Amino acid sequence: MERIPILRIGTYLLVTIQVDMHDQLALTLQTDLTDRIAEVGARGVLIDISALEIVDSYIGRTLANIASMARVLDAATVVVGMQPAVAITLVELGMTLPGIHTAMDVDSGMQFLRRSVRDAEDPDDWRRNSTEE
Amino acid sequence: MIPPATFVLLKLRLQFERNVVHARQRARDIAALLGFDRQDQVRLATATSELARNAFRYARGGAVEFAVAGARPQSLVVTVTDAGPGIAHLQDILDGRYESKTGLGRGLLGTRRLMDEFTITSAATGTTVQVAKCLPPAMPAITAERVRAIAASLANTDTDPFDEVERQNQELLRTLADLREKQDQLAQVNSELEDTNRGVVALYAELEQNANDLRRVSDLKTSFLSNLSHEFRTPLNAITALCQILADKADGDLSAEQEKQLSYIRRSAADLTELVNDLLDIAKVEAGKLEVRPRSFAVADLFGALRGMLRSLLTSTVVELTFWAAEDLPPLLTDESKLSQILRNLTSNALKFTERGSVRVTAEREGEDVVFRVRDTGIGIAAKDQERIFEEFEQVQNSIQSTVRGTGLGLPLARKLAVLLGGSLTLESVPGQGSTFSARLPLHYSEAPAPKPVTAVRSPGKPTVLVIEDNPETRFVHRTALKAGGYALEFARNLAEARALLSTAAPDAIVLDRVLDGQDSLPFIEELKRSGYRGCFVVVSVLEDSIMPLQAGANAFFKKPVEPGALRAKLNELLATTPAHAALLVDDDEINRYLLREALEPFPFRIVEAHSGREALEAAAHAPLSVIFLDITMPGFTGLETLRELKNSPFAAHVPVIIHTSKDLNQEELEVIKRFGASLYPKQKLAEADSSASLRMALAGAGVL
Repeated sequence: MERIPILRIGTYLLVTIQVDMHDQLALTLQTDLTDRIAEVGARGVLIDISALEIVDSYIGRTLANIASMARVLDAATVVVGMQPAVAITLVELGMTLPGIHTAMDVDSGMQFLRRSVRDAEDPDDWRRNSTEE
Repeated sequence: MIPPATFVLLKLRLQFERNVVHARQRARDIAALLGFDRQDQVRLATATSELARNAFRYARGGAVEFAVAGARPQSLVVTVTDAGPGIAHLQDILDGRYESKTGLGRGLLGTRRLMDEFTITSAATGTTVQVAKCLPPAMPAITAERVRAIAASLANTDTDPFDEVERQNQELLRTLADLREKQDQLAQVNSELEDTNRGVVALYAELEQNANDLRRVSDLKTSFLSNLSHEFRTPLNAITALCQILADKADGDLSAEQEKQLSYIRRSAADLTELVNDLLDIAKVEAGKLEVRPRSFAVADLFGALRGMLRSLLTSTVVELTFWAAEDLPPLLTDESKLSQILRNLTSNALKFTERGSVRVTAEREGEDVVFRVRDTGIGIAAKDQERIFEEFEQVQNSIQSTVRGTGLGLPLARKLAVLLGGSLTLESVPGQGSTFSARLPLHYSEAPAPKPVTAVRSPGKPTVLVIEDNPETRFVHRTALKAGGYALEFARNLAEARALLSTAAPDAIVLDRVLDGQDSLPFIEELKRSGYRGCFVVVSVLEDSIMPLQAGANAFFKKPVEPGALRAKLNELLATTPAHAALLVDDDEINRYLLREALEPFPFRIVEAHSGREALEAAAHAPLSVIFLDITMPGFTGLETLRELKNSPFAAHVPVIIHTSKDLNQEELEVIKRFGASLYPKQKLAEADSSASLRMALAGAGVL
């Protein structure tokens, strides 16, 4: 069965969508990705859509769904490399992609993820400090 | 006003989810080809994707049409149609009041925002959405020509993998249909083949039938020839033998004229016999029934015998017949009689056609072969006739041919025999100078030599006396007493041993003690008499009672101790009255019995005759016999069946049997004869001049004389 590959880098998952996804493939990606997050305890998900030339309402909605589910599973999501034409079209279409962070490229996407993970770990630091006393 | 032209660029079916992706990719391609900028390409593609998805999702499929329409500015019109149930809350959706349960539902509104024109008609029978976007004003007007170019360009890049799969699927279906058709054709061909096969089988059965018929005809021919020649031989033998009797003047003198007539009769009979024998030999070689019986012999001996045999053919002194065998010639291992026949035929042939000069018979070794050459200085044979003379019944016309007799079978038979012995027979000849026949044979016939015939042990012609006595001393006395009488003696210690001996041979007389192992032996006499034993009994006993033994069937009684001379005298007397030297002639043919009776005249036999096997068995049980002459070909019981019965009967089992027939016996019959220890005295021998001597030899061989 056709699948989008999901790569793991440490506590992050990396997805690069290279093909024009049909709806079922998008849905499969959503399921696979949530499964992997739970499986490896990923803290961040980076989705590279730089190769996508068309993102319609369904795919946009799917990306939004992935981000929402990842958040529930304690993972941050960043979508990187969206082409300007696609972005404009999404806006004109009325898609706001709530809960999705975007970045220009993979580097800045990763920076964002690390930052958000570190912010989330601050309470742990506090707890550790207190036990040392 | 001319309505603005509408150019349809592409039509796509929306049947599978994959088609939605294809539709939006095509939309983007078309937009690019029509000169839309990148942003509009994405807008058009996205709008097409939304509409196509709706059609696929809510109406289970539909169609997308891309067209260029309108006057300047022309528009790219995308029309998506479906045959679904229509859109229930169309106005709500268009007014943005509708909340989709799936969280989507923004497709139509968003699409309207993306495009310049948007029209939608929705009914229960289907929905049609038509969107349009104006072509960039900078672009030249779209003409039919450009549309064709665009359509062609689209067709080139139209590589939707799903369509490809579908196309291949269609091809597969077509191939499958073709295959089915071919399968049907194959089935038809197969059934035709089956029909043909049935025909062939029927034909084959017919051929088989024909082959069987031919085989049967061939077998019939062989048995016909064999039987016919047998039927010929029997009267021929009779004629020859009767001539012999007449020539012997046994029944009175013949006049000179009668003697001449008799000699003609004899010569004609001899010619006919030769012809019949040759015919039979040819038939047997052809039927592969002539057996090769190789044995080792020296060529010099063979030549000696041939010289004696052929001397009689030398009619004039102007022809010299010589034999010469090379010194280094080793003994041959082959069938001597067949080789002899070959050389006889060749030599007699040479002698016939040689008026003066010589006939030389030579033997030389050449490698592993021996080559016999018969060279004559006769008339020779023309080249054109040299192969023909080996054909049956072929005789070359020449000056001598009309004066010499011949069957035309001699040379063909010689060649067939030579081949049978693993060799060949060839001819070189110059007309007027002579001919040389060369028979080339292997020194050793390659087939395994046939097993040597087993010579049966025969009882001597003396009368047999069985002594049954349990006392060893008395046995010794009897032995001493009877030895002087010249009897063949057999001893048994009790009745059980006696019965065992009697089951194999019936003695001429039995001398027995009345009390054996405390038992009265008189019932044994009665038992034997009842079973058909016809020999005589002498009872010896310490008991003085002579009445009971004689009543029981004994021929004489002696009280112990017995005086040896008296016992011998009594036995001789008894044996004399019992015709022990009886010869049984078993033949259904009266003439044959007459001939044999005549031939046996010089011998001390009482002749008993039987017409059939059944009569022979009866006769054997009634009188002790010395010898049995047995014909093979008889109605009812055949000779071989009679032989078996005789050998199984207690009274004839020990009697030597001489098979007396003119039939050519096959290997199987010879085996049977051998197994039962019988010997052979062919009827042909009776017709020969020295029949008396040969008969004496046969009788001696059988142990009768």
